[in-house]
Amino acid sequence: MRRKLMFTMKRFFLIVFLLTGLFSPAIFAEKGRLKIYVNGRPIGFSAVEKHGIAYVPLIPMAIALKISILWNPSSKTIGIAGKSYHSVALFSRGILYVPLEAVATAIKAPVELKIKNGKFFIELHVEKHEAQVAPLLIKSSNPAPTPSQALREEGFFAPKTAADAYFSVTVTDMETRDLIRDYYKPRGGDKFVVLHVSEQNISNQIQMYTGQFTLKDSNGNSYNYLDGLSTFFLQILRPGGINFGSLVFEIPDSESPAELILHTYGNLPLTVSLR
Amino acid sequence: MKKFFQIIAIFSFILVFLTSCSKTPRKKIVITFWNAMNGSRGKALQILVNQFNASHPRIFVKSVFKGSKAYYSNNYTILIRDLLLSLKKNDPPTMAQVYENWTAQFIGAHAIIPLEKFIHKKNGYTPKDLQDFVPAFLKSNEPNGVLWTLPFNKSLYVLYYNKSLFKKEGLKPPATWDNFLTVAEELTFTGRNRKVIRYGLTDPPDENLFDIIFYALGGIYFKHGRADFNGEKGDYALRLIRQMKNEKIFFPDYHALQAFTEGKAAMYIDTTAALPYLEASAKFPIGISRVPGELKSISLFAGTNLAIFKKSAPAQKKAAWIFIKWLLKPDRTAWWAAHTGYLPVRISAIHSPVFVSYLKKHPEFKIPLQQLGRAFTDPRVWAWESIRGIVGHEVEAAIFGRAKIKQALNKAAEKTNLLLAQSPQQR
Repeated sequence: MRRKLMFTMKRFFLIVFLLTGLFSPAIFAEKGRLKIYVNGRPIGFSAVEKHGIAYVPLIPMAIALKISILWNPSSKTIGIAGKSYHSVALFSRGILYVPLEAVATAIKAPVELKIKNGKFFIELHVEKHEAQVAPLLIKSSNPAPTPSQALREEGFFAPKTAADAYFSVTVTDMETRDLIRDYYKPRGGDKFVVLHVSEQNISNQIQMYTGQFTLKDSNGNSYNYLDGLSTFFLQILRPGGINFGSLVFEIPDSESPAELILHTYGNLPLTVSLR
Repeated sequence: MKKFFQIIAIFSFILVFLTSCSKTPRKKIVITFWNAMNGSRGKALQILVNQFNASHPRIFVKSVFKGSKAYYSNNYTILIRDLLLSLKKNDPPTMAQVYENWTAQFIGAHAIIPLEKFIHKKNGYTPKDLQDFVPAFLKSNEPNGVLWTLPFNKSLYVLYYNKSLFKKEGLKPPATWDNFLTVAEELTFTGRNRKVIRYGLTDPPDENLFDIIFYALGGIYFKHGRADFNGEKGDYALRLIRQMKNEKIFFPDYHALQAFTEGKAAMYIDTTAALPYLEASAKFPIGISRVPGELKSISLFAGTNLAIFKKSAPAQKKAAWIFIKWLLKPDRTAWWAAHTGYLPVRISAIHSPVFVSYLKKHPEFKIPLQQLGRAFTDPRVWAWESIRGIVGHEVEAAIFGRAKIKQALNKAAEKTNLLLAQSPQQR
């Protein structure tokens, strides 16, 4: 019975084609989302469709498949079960998604597209031996490492900081999003970059104006943050006073953030390198 | 060539002489009033400013709109940014609209003067005048017992509802959140394929909705200088919002105002300032009810106050006081309220002819007026704006299921405590 359910690679590619091809709008009819089942069990997360490619959430997939999946943002590779694959990833609602195709190819798991109650869903079948064969990247000395911990170890965003005589600025996290507040989308060809920032007055004077932040990309283009979407609100900082929040920038898809610059009145700009 | 320069010099001398002659013997006092009022509110404010300037030949009020039409922008964010920058440059306006938490910062930075300086002097207010101010509004302007600012554009959170729909279904606006769930459920209309055609409630899924329900349960934001919204009541409030969202009776939408007028939901919570827009855009009659309250009937108010900056010249400060006093006269605050949806800040204004005729046209507006006795506002702490941002961020994550309720609230509380620790406490 199980054998029968297994798909040949040919049919697998046919299904990937289905997911990525002409039928995708119809398949992803319900809010562009598609439920995922692994070995008959729902993983509780859905696949999303963007530009005709089906993406699956990285961390829930890693948990469901009991394998390590790592995303390296600098080399743009997905490390699955010890091997790395060049790919693109996307952030949606704060979740990192990777292409279904990359996951399915790497674990050699057949992907089925099924219909239940008029709704499509994806099913992956993982043979036990395959999961065991897959070498785990996570060290055995750490008994219960979660994939999110593994992500951090793999060099996910490490806090960056810079200071002058007046302010100390720390970027605690940086993420790329295609949706802010589950509502706002960037303009076509753009993406949102969210920087979680803290700013402290390290001078011994009260600071009335704590400055305006701009972002510089690797090509030297400068951007102002979208104040209506950001949650960094200016406030007077007394000596030692700290303020934090998130800054949302909209930059072209092709660009990557290089520097966060604080422009204060009467002082030199303060630059935090993001690389 | 030499002659040419001589001619130029003579001409410029004559020019300077003529301009100095044309000046009136007594110089006009120019005061700048920075505000975030645009659209119909901006127009209404400009009408008042023009009236003042016409009736006060020695003072000229220059109303400066601080805001932006930029993609995703907020007027008040621009106003505070420019105010802080102007303070850094040592060149603030004479007066501005300020929120309570801005006042806390400006007091700490010695940037504003208490209006009490003028109130208790000649040409100030009599005790009777002060008693005529809506007590809750006046109280929010009195950090540590000193009247620093005076209330200007104040609005109250109310529950807007589709009146014809309620009539058709034979329903009454809910008085408690418990009842709210039942009513919202009854009003939710699901079509084929379980697609919701009309929701019970729409609102932005942010800290405002959380705060309103939290306050309605009798919650207090801070206790002994620490966050206290992550206890049982906060948990209940956030759980309620998420439950409503999951049961598809609540439509979380950042453009909820529009969604409500389009009939996508039967109820909507916003301040009274939204009424002119709602009346102009909705195709159904708008009903107004008080926001449901569980343990106590609460009425959260919002809006700004008027402050005078310390840097201004004494004559400017005095002129600004004359303008503020003129602006807050019962008749004028009544006119302002009738044209903007804000509330009159003076009790006697409610009985003024202009407002009586407004109430005849908008009988629903009597409901928020009845709530004024129970009105209260958000905490006035220094870092309130940042705290709001933090709470909003976490609340939203919990509503959309990206974070667990308890964890989201604890995370927000932890960051809030960091911010509270460095803010001077104010009562």
